[in-house]
Amino acid sequence: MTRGASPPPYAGFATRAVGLVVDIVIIDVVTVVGAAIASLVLSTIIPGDVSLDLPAALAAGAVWLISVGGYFVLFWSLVGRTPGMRLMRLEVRAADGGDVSFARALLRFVGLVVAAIPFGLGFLLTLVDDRRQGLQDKIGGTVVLYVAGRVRGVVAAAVPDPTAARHEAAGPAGEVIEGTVVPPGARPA
Amino acid sequence: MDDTYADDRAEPARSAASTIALAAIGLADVSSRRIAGIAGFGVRAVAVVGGPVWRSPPAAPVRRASSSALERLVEDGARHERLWSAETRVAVTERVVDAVVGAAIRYALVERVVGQLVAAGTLERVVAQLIAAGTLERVAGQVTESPLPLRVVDDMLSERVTDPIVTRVVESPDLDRVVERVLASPAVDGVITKVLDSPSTDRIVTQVLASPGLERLIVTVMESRLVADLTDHVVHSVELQRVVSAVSQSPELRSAIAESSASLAGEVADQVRAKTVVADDRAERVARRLLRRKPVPRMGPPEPPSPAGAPG
Repeated sequence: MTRGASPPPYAGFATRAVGLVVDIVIIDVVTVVGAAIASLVLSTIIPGDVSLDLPAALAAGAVWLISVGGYFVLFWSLVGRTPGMRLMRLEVRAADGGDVSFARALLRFVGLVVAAIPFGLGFLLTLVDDRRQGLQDKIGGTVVLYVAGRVRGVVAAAVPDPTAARHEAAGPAGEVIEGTVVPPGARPA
Repeated sequence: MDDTYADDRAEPARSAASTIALAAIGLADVSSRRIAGIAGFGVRAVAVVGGPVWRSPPAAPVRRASSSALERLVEDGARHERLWSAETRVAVTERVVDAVVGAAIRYALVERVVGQLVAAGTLERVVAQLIAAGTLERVAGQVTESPLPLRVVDDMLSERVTDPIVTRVVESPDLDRVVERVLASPAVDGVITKVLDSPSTDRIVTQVLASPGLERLIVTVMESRLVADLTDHVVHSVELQRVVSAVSQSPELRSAIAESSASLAGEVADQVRAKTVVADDRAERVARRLLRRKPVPRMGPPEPPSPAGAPG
């Protein structure tokens, strides 16, 4: 157990990138399998060749975007981590330490798309930001933290001042208890 | 008052069974060479005195009568040997084994004997004495150096009577009960612990393992038809199939396999994570150096919770 006042362990670029790759693999596998099943079912219902015109392609793209968005937004807002983040033991939290709301998660997903558009340059912001926030974090108002183990159902995470490491004399801003950042006075029973 | 009797009374009480067992062991241990010497002397004396008497003319009628009786016995033996076929031997052996095992089970003979030995602590004392006197060591040495065990095992394996005996004993329904009861006894535990803790055991095991006799014995047993038959019997038995089926369907085994798979995946993920955490810091340092920005002191990721009782 790690216990004591210390700056929160913000997750860095490489770990987050691996988590994102795992998520993309999961999404791709699910999409391919789902598309195969759908085409099989459609081929039995609609006889003959099925050509994909522009509206149908746009609709399919929209469905894909909604599916991907739903995956990220629901995982972030409901459990605070996607399966890829869980594998790498990462957790996304609001920058003020609270849970990630649905709206904030949606905003973060928009930020993710925006960060990805210029060939992923938005993600590189993680390398130079004090709190290791990427463009999606800046837009969504979130931070990503390392966690030690499984996220427990404790009252979690007032994330302290970003410069807390340099200003520890200002007093304890939070504690890391079994890998979860817990604000002062909110220790689990 | 006599002091000798007082000393006798001061000794701990010892049961009749343990006294007899200890006396037998003592006798065997101490006087085996003496008995052998006496027997050798007796044989020599009979040969020296009896030989001339037997060959003397007055003993001729007795000699003739005894030789013809001996010849008749030999002829009878040969005839009986032909009648005494393998099938008859197997049948008789089975009956004898049935009778012996049946009697032992009916009268709870093994349980009673073991119970008596265990209750009186005889077993424990006997083992202690055997270990202390080095008897076991000497016996093991003699056995491993002698060709006798090999001959005995060879004979047993070549006889068709061994199969039914082993099968009867192994398939006896009450054998499990007897073994269970013996193994559950705390005194047996103590004996086993004592034997295992004894330095003599180490020496005996080393001595036995180093002997070429044991190697020959094991090779003989392994190459015998009995082992192959027993293996076939076990492999094709319904009980084994039931056990395998029960084990493969047990939820404990399945959860253990799932757990080990999950822990393997977890270990791989931990390795990857450890490397990426280092890469996080390196990449950040390089990027900040390129942009001439001051590095930020970082706290590494928190350690995973240690198992209960472990330090830290």
